[in-house]
Amino acid sequence: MSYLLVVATTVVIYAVLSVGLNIAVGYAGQPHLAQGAFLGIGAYMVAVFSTRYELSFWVSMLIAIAVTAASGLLLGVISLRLRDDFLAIVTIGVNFVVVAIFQYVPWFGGATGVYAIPLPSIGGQQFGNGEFLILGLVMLAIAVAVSGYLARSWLGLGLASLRDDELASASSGTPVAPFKITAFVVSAAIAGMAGALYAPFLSAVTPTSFGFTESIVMLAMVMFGGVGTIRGAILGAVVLGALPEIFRFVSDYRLLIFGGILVLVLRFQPQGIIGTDSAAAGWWSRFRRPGHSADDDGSGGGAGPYGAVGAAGGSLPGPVDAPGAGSAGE
Amino acid sequence: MPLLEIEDLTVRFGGVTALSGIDLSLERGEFCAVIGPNGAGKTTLFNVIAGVIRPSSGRFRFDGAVVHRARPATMRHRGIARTFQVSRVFGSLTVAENVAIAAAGRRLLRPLGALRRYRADSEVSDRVAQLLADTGLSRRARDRADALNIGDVRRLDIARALAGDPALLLLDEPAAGIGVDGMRSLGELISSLRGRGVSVLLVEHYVGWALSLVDRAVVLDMGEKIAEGLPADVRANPRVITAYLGHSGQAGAAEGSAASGGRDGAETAPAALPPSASTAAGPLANRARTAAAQQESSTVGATPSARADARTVAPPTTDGAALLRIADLSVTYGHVSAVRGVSLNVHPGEFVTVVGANGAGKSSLLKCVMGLVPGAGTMIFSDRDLLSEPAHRRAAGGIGYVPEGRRIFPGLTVEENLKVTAGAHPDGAAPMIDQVFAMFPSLARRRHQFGGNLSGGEQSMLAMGRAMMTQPHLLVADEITLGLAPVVVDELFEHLTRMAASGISVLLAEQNAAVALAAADRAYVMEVGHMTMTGPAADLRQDHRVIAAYLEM
Repeated sequence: MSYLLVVATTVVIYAVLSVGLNIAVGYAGQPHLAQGAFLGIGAYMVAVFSTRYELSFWVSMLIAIAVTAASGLLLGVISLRLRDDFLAIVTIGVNFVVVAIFQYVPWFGGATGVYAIPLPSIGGQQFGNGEFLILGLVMLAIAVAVSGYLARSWLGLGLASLRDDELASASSGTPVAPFKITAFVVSAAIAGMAGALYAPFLSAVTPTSFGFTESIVMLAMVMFGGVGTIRGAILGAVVLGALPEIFRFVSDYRLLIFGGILVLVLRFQPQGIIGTDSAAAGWWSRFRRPGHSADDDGSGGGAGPYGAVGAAGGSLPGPVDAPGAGSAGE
Repeated sequence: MPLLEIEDLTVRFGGVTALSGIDLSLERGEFCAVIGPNGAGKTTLFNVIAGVIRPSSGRFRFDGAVVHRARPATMRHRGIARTFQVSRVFGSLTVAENVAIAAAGRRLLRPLGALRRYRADSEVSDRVAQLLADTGLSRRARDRADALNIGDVRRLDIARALAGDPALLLLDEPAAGIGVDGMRSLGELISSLRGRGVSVLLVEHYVGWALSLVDRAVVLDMGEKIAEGLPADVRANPRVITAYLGHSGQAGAAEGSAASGGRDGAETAPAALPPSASTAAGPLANRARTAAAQQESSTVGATPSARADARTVAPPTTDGAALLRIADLSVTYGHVSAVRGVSLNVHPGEFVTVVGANGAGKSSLLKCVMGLVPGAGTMIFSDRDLLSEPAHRRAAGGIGYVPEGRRIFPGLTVEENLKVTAGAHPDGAAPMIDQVFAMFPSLARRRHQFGGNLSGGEQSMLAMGRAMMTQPHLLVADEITLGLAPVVVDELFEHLTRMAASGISVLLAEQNAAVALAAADRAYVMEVGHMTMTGPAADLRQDHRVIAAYLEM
């Protein structure tokens, strides 16, 4: 039972991370391969402040969210100067730099990291496995609410427009720079929140747990489920997060299966398993409203002429983009 | 006071002067077209006003205020909105959302405004509904923008630009790729904007169409303003006709209108079309011409006897089988169709040119012959079905290609540029390189210079020489005169003529009709993706309808 709770909490933490990552990657269309570093910054803040400074978990968590959001701001500013592949490479670099800081700055505890992180307590009651899961679910609810609200706001619509075409978006009056930075900040803050839970949950943090591979796994979760959608990010976290446990009996081949599934999904369902335009989304809309296509569905909320697509639900620039959108004419 | 005032505007890119000393002013509510041949500087001027390019010098005033640092995002708030030549709608959003984001205005600039739910904003959604009704897109409001056809994409682009209530609307070649029907209905939409009080600056390839929509036109050529005035005056201006039809041999083309009426009917038979069709201007008349031209083309390709009837002035080589036979070829890019049902033949040793204004589809046709863009239809080259072969196979199989803009390798020396192409040749490169140097002695003198350091004319020669390295039977050349001085143009055409005389067939696409028609054996005139005329080049040179093909569409 407690094993299942641990697996479930891990999956929920991943879900929070990928829902957060989806804001930068899915909504704003920015390549982002440093979400692992932001998880690490959040986790380290709680680890250091609750051990060395003996602050309560809740205070440390607020510090963690604030510091990660500030780090996200930094990455957001970098993103204004760089685009596409170059930005992707820089985010990878950022991830390595952050891990190196954890490793070599003594304040962070060096290579051994920080251990014996005290359990959080609420009303004098120390956390058990159940409480970790509950707090994780609360965090997921917050992440989903923030991200869902964002998608329906002018900010979300503006992000979607700059994701599709930055020059046209700027020419339409979208303030590209503050919008992009906001996306990175919110993404990072949500990762910081997840990190705050992660540290006491594992009771120890080490630099290597927040490496580039972790960032890849999170991006894979978003892509697997369907980039740009909250449901896709959660499904990706559930499937890819639980996979290593499900395939424990073939422990040596876990990564092989993991990679194989990713390759197949991106080859045959580049919009993700349940993303916008995926086969599953099409079946679902036909099942719900026989005789209507997904585009006729006006249930997206509120009155108005807008239709169902909404700001959420797009594609990454680059390989996932629809073909033939490029040059025209002579 | 004029809405837009530009004085003495100059734009340089490195050593190239794209615009020099341009003056332009625009009144409130005035519709003005900027026209000019390829490379005239139209797009540069557009980009300066849109805030994409910063001018090297000159004054730019808008709405009474001096514009110092123009940027795309800030121009919008000044009251300048633009459309895009290529599709730049937000594909993953619905049509209504595309317009909504542009109609949001200052809401996006206030932190709390940006966090409001956009669907709940009835002020914006009412405005979006009105704009979509005005642009004829109401029925598509809930569709994803990437599902629109190209005509509706242009409408959406205009709706999005109007959403910010601009004082000036910049239209960047809105007619590109939308076909004659699309041009007619888009023209109606643009004319309907007159009631809004917005000024319109229209940059356009299709001269006749643009002139039919505006109060005034400005003509650019090679970065300078060569004419300005009422549409009818501009159209009749000899300098404008020369700019479009070419800088060499202009006398023949300009006098054509007088000469063609009295010409011998038998000689011009293949090209002759009913006079009624040629006198009627505009897209619909062109369609009629197209149908007639297509019929004519198919008889050319059908049987030797039919061809013998149709052709009297062709060179002796035409009575054999065609080296390249194209029938009913179409090239489309996504929703845009660039070439529509084109038929064309090139015989051994024949010099054939395809002339037409920019945007007619000439380059797409040639790229399709080379296999660089896919096409549908029939394309036979010495009994081989070309459409099923990849480009490198076509190159090895006897087609040499000189791309538009030359595309030589700037970091390789002249000799290396040539060697690279001969890689596949069994005899090795040396004998062919000597042959190319014999053909172009000025290249031989520069054999160790980098390609990027050559002059434009030398680069053109190098591109031609590179195409010759595979010992082609057919040389396909795209706009070799672009941006070159008349004397260099004449030299390049001498080389082409000599190649044709040595037995190599030449298929040349050229905007400079005067010089191309003077050199070629036979010519085709292309308009908006169709072949509208064909015949011996010498005849077309005298035909005023060739001028019409440039200035009426």
